[in-house]
Amino acid sequence: MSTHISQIILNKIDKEHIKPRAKWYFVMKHAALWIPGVLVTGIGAVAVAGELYAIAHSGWEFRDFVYSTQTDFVLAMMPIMWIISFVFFGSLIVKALRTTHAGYRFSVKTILLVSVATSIILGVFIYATDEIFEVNSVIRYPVQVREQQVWFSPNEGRLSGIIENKIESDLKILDKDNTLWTIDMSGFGSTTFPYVAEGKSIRIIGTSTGDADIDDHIFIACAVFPWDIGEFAHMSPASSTIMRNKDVRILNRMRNNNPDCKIVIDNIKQHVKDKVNK
Amino acid sequence: MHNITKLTDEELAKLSVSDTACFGELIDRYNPTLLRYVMRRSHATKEDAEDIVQNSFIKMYRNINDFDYDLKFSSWAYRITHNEMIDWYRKQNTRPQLFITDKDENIFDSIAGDMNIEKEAIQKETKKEIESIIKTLDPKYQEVVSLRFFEDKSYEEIADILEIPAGTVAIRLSRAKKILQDTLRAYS
Repeated sequence: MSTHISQIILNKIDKEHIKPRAKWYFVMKHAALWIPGVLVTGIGAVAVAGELYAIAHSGWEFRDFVYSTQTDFVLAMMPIMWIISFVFFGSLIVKALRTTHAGYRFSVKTILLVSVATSIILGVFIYATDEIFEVNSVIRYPVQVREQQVWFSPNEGRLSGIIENKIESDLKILDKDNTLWTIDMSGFGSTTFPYVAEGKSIRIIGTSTGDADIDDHIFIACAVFPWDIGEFAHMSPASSTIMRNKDVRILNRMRNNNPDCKIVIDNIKQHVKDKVNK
Repeated sequence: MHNITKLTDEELAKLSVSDTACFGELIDRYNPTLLRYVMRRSHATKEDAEDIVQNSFIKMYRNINDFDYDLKFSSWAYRITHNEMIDWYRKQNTRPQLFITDKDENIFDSIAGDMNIEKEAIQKETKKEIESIIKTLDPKYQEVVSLRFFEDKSYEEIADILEIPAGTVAIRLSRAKKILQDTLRAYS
């Protein structure tokens, strides 16, 4: 039997035509509350993929020519932007998931653990997909920017471009600004590189000797690498030896008889070290 | 036709969508408890408290399809009433405050038991002290103390009512008890 209070409330419900909201309304509402959580986890996954790409493409091949120590290399190549993104979005996930229907039931530790694990699994998947299908997605962008900065610094001993032609021991390459450079390869003697051919993109470590004021762009090569990271290991016949001995590896790679090259490379390393420590 | 008095709260909630009589039964079951809860937690007049509870029931009815059957209906009803009460306070520009009545005498024994204080030690003066200490507690501690000792809710139920993790409930209760113990020790 209804009491006075329940009768008042039921009358009000009846009089004001109050109806229960439809089930689908709540289904939609709860789904919408998941959107920030899903977005944050998704961005976290992209950050993980970006970190993986940056690590895999940090230029292990050139490490010995550019960096004095492992620490310099790690510091210079650390994917700071992705790490900051991951930590930032990771810190938002607790807030985002707590707003969901049953989000309050989970501890901060559980939410962080599940979200980070999901981001890592998804991140590995995104990275693998990008590598297999060469999607050229956003995860490559910071590495591409870094590559442009690092490998278009002729004054700092690093240059890159597409090979226009090869005449005896000289290479003509076009850099990203369409400047034609003459690369002096005489120090390599009779050594040939499979990736040094017309139309191929290369990276060169060496020193600029020309006078830019009179459009004289000459660069003496001390070490030459293919642009595509990873290609060197597959194309160099000396790669198996390289893996065993660091000094032999450097010599095999360079095969450059120019005595100034050691000084050039030491200068590059010192310059990079100063930059990293700054 | 169901004998609605024999149905559980959760079964009544399910049937309330199509049968308002079932919802009437839920109102009958929960109105006294929720009214007492609001009166304990507020300086509202009886009329204001009745308004808060009535509005809460209307909200429950409107959102009955959102009721999560993983919860106890009582936790859901307390949650909606608690939120309605907080809204009311916001409009009044005040904060909830715990009010202890003469009917709450046995609650002191419960608090004493939980804090390992001998029942005999809870003398008239100590009860007054406990009451005054509870009133000075931060609202977030007051609400867990209120639900645990005055409404006799479990940690999980408090978590569902306040929508916070059960671990947070445990931490808040333990801190509240520590404050009570320390302050009582200082008194003695």
